[in-house]
Amino acid sequence: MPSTAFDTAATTQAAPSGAVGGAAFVPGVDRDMGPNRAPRLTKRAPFLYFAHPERWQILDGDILPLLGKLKLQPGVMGVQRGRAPGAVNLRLARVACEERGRTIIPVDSVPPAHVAPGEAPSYLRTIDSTSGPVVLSRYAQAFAGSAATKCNEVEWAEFLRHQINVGVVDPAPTWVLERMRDSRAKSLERMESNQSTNRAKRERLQAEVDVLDAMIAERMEVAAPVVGTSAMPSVEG
Amino acid sequence: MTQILYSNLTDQITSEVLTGEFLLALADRSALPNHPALIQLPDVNGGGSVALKTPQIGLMGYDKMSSTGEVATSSTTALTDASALVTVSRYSKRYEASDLARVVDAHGVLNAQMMAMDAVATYSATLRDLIANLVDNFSTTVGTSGVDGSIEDILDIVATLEIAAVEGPYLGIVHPRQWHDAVKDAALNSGGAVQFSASGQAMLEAMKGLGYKGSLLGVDWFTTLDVPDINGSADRAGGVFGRGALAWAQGPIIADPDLPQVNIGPVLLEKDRVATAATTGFLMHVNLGAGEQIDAAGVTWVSDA
Repeated sequence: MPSTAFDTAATTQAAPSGAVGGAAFVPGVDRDMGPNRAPRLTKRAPFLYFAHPERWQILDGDILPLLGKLKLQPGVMGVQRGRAPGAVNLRLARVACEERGRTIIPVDSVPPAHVAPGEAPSYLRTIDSTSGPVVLSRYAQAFAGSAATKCNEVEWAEFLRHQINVGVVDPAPTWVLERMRDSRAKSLERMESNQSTNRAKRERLQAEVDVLDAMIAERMEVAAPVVGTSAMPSVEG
Repeated sequence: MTQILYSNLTDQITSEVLTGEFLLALADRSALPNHPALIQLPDVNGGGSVALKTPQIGLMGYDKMSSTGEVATSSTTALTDASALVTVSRYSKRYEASDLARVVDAHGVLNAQMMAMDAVATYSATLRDLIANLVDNFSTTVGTSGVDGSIEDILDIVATLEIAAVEGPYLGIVHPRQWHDAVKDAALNSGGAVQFSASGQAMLEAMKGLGYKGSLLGVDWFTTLDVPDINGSADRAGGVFGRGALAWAQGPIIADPDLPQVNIGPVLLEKDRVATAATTGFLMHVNLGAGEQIDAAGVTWVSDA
């Protein structure tokens, strides 16, 4: 059991030489107010990540999927209650995902380096909070006594990159990259014509345009556009 | 010393007394507006399934006519269709108080009247949660991870929806962080066209607190904490959509007059007495479900959490 703020072991052990020490007295407390107190997270349903060919973002200098979440909550998006207690039935939800072009990421598709020895690979993690066990992404960090969560951005980017590397998610289509590049380039143009002083945003946009330009140029070398046949409309007069 | 001090009256005072007032613990208690962009499907009662299928049909101007020769035979036109499902599931909540707890209840909260009021609020909160958990999944996204939401994002969203032929009025269900990033942008960065417009001013002066915030740039805005995070909690993902994007349905349970039950709207509230344990339970049940319909009728707005 972890020691609490009320742990008196230190004082009993410090008794003068020769004095009877006795066992440490640790009072039981209803709520741990020490550094090991539980995070104050609200309960939420577990989920499976999914990718979509049109949902992409630039993170860590790379073009990575912007994953959505299929909440494993009966009543949401076709998820039904399963036969076993606590289980969910995804039969209809999987169909709904496929119809929309979404690829569900298997829950164990995690970079091996992110999993501790002996731990079952999963991108979900259960954390004990004041409202009971709460399921979070492995990459969301919770803190003692706090309702705030924070992303482990380095590992999150590695996780997203892993999905492409192992073939769970196909790389972004070139036309999506071009659309992303155009929207960022237009934002940059607008900032310049408005003489915006937001230098940080301008630099970020420029860096993203550079990443996209490089990726598009790389694609163009290997993928030439489809060449059709000449079309001759029937015209009179 | 013979002075009578408060600190000496230990046998005549108590450490705390109840004020007779109570405060509600902080929570999101907003209820979604009855907005035309949200579709309520018919109840599942008597339908033979918990899954409701709604067809999407390409009529009423979906296909245009083709220019055809004077005596040429018209070619046939395929009727475009698709469908989407909403499945309904059971949602319940149970409070159970001992007789002793109810006897000493100084605030009158452990009784049927308070539980009935709680049932109404709980139903609204549950429905709001179901719908808010759909807006992060639209295929079309606007905004950037790690960057605050902005007026430019909102303009992009409205343009995207209009280009996708989505009919207004639009409803935005967003996290208060996203809304206030946009408010800040309107106040500090955006040009006069937005900053000094009537709706821009209304946005800045909007009633604080979760829920309906008013209209801005053609969107009716609603904030709730139920909007999911995205990117491992780094960002928030609200959504803006028109009619056709999302639908919900329910299956009200009709109260049995032979039992201690009552319908509070679609919620069944019932009393459960355990005589052997001297406890009284209050249970509320409802069947609810929500689902995406036409994916392109909504846009997910990604911005820094």
